[in-house]
Amino acid sequence: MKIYNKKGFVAGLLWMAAGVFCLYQDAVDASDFLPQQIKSVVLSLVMLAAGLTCLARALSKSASREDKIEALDERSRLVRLKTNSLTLRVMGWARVAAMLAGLLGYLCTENLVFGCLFLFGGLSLALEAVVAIAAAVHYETHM
Amino acid sequence: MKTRVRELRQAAGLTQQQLADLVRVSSRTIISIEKEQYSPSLMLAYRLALVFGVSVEELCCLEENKRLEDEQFEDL
Repeated sequence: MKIYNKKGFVAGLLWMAAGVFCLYQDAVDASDFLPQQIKSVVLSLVMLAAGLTCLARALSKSASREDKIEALDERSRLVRLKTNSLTLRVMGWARVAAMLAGLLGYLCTENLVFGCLFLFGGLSLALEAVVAIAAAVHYETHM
Repeated sequence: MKTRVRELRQAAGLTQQQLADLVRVSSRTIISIEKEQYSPSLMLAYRLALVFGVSVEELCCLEENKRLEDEQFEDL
């Protein structure tokens, strides 16, 4: 048996380990609340199935080739970049909205929770701006 | 960008998956190129051109695409 996709194999092992651990936890520390128990077992089984799939694909030559092509595919990479970019932009606007809501909430109620929301929103936006400048400098000099 | 990929693929009797396998991309990339939703990279265009035995210029209708792009710039 040969491993064709090492990353996939490791990912499969991790998923399997997580699934087995959760199943073990369910067995040892069973919840009295049945729906919670069922939810937990189903989640563990999903993790086990994902692990098995990853392992099977890592051991199959054709499936590993498919996975490699998918990972290196130029359109897929562009899609991933665009997805990340849009996510970042949307999350940026969400943080601005949260900041404004925090500011408004603090001004109206003087509750510190709203003040913290404003502060952490502002800090994360400032950090993002610094990272963006550093990334821009890096790519301007390396591309 | 307009290309002749669909026309040349059909003429060669290849399926989208077969062509994708030949140039080592996913079939979705071939579908997107044929739908003119995605422009292939220079290397992919070269690989496709080699498969069909045509030049990149011919495959990607570069002259026509350049004319269309120039028309867009003329409006500026």
